[in-house]
Amino acid sequence: MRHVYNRLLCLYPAVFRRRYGTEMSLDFAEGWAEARAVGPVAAVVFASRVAGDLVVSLVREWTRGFRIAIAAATAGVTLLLWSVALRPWAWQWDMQIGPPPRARTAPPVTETELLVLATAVLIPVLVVLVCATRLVKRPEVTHGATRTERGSRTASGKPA
Amino acid sequence: MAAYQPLTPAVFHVLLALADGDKHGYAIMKSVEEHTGGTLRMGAGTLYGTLQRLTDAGWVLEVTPPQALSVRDEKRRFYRLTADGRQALGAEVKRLEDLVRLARRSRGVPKAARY
Repeated sequence: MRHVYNRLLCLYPAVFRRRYGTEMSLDFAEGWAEARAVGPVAAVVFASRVAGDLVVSLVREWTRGFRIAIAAATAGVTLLLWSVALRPWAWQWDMQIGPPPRARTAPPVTETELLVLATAVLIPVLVVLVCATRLVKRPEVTHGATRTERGSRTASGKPA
Repeated sequence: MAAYQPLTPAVFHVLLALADGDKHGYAIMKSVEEHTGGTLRMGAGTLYGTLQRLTDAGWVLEVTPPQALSVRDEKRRFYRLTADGRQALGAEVKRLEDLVRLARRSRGVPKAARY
């Protein structure tokens, strides 16, 4: 099981994986051993919790630093999709004064158009799920340089 | 200090766990679970993502592991709360205290919840 988890750790960004991969693997091994000692149900619960955390943290790590750009790009794509979904090519452009020559019904919606609509609805929901916490809870902190005991890394940042 | 706040639950609990002393990642996870009575269980991805942000911000520091270590813990890194981190934690506790005080003064809050 640890072998599988180690493989999954490869999905994280390289910097993050190099920095914390070993510790995450050790933590998983310890947690897995504890859960297995309790019983099979505990092991399943542990595995599902790890899987959930993996998905959430993968998205978080890959989108760190450019979430606003992603949100803006997504808004643009959503607008584009909606404009396609409104089907301007199916509109009747030949306006005539007076009563219409005959009653017309809207052309049937195709499967592709339904798919486009469904995507257009889902995208903003996903963006809100990923970005909302980050965009709302963002303390304005400015720190000076900090040096760790292990190396000469200096950094400043904004934890959230 | 108002600029530090509000902290996310993950950041708050990691700082709180480290306030007791230096810990490695797994010990922080266990400490958070213990503090919250098991209601908050941080996964490794969440924990180390939070630690990375806190380290970059200078609130947490990687430190040399203590001498007397089990073989199992030799490969682990230990983390320590810095003065800035402690100050941020204190400010958050003060903010939460103010909120609770405000809620207790409010007549709209049920009495049972006020005391």
